Amino acid sequence: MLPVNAVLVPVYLAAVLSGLLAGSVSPALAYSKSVTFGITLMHSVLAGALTGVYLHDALHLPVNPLLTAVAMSLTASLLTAEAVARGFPEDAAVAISVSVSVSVAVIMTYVVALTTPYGVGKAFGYVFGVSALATWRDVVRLAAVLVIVIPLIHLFWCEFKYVAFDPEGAEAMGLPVRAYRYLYYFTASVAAASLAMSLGVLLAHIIITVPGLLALRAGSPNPFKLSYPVSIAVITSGYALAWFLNIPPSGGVGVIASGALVSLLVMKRGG
Amino acid sequence: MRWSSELSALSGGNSFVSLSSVHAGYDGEPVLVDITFKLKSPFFAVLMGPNGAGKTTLLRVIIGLLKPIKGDVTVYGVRPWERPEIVKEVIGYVPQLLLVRQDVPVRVEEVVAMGILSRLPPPRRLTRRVREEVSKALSMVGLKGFEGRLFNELSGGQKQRVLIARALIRKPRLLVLDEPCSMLDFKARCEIIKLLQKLHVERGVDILLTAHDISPCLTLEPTVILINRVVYAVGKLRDVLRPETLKLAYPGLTEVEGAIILGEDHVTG
Repeated sequence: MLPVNAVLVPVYLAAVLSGLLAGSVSPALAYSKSVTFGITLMHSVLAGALTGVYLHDALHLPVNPLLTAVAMSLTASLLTAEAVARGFPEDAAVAISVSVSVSVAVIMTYVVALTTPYGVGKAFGYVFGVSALATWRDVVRLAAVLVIVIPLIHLFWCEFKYVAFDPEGAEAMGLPVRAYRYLYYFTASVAAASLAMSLGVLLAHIIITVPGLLALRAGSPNPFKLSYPVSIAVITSGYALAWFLNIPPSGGVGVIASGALVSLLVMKRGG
Repeated sequence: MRWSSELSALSGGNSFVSLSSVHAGYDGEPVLVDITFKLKSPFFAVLMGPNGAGKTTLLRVIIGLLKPIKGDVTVYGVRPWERPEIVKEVIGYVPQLLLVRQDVPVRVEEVVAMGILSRLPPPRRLTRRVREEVSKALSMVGLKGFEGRLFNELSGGQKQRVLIARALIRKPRLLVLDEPCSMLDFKARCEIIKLLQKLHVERGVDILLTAHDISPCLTLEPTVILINRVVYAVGKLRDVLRPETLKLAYPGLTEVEGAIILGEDHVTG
């Protein structure tokens, strides 16, 4: 039995909300073959968070690292979308974004380490996640992001899927394919930034891919029937595992999510 | 029921698809040079040429997905780049099956429904009226009862017919098909060609398709446009498919007794 007390309520709630967020955005990434794009966003979140830490802690500016993380992931996603619109293959477009994001992350790590005594430690918090320390403020932040992301994904799911299925046919029928790509990249970047800030960049890498890939593998036209329960189950069971093994919650979630990915490989080999 | 008369009003009653000195390509590099031809409705036309001849590029120009570098294009009197909304109403486009992602699990009814849902604002939902239209379109291509099947579980010929149904649900005046017979076996090719002939004869739909060769199942005599970056010939089948004309567009053409080998693996009898 997991421990229950008032301090842990926001932690559990944040876990469920993170699961809902991952469950909503992950199918869009998997169905549009943009899992690597999702991973790119995590690099940009890290770059943005480090920039935020530098601005806040070294320059003492009233800047929230979450906002700089969202801004950086939006920039990376727009860069990717624009490169795709200009005819680059998506993997090449993602590579461009990754190189920019990683360069910023490396430079900012150096600058933060040089200018603030505890900045790197804080930045590592974003890398490994601080989900065990989730507060009501984190719950409200996740809920606010969910209110934007879930309606957008479900309202335009049909279009996202169709653009992934047959972009040229969709364009020939008059669908604004470019606008839908931008909308999808925007939604994914907001969700990725929020997930990375609550679960950590490393864990968000996994949790953003597992539910969508499982749903795609299952071949369901309605992936949300699988992605929501899977993502919530992975996160909550990861927390439970972490409690039993006395390891950080992110580690527990990582073990469960990796197990799900391995089972996906087994399914693929068997299928 | 014929659709062409209903839709001709949309495009002002003009009955030509016309290209005049069109240069088109990507990043300023022309793939097509000085393309000029005119098709008068009703037509069943085959755009024929080897790989890399610019057939798909030409279709993209006609349907308004690619702006020509220079020259003029009109589809029933409308310039695709000036009035894309009208051109998209009168044209039903069937892309190459190769360009459609097979791993995305989409039901047949979802694929076909997008033909009319794309005309509506979001949220685009499968209503009862849309489902009825989908059933009618699927019946037209001989796939009644396939609504709930997954697209990626169908045979190549069935997939092609689903994409044709998606175009037909829009009741187009012109059906533009990019390599509708590629990757299909002989029987499936014949079924597709017979379906297109039926749509042309019974519904009055103009047909423009790209192909490497002419299907022997085609009983109509099509207009053939022979291209390989430039237009080499436009005319009736018997006038265009002559060794001396084909040699121009197919550099690897070889003549053997009773047949012509078109440089790749295409043989015309």
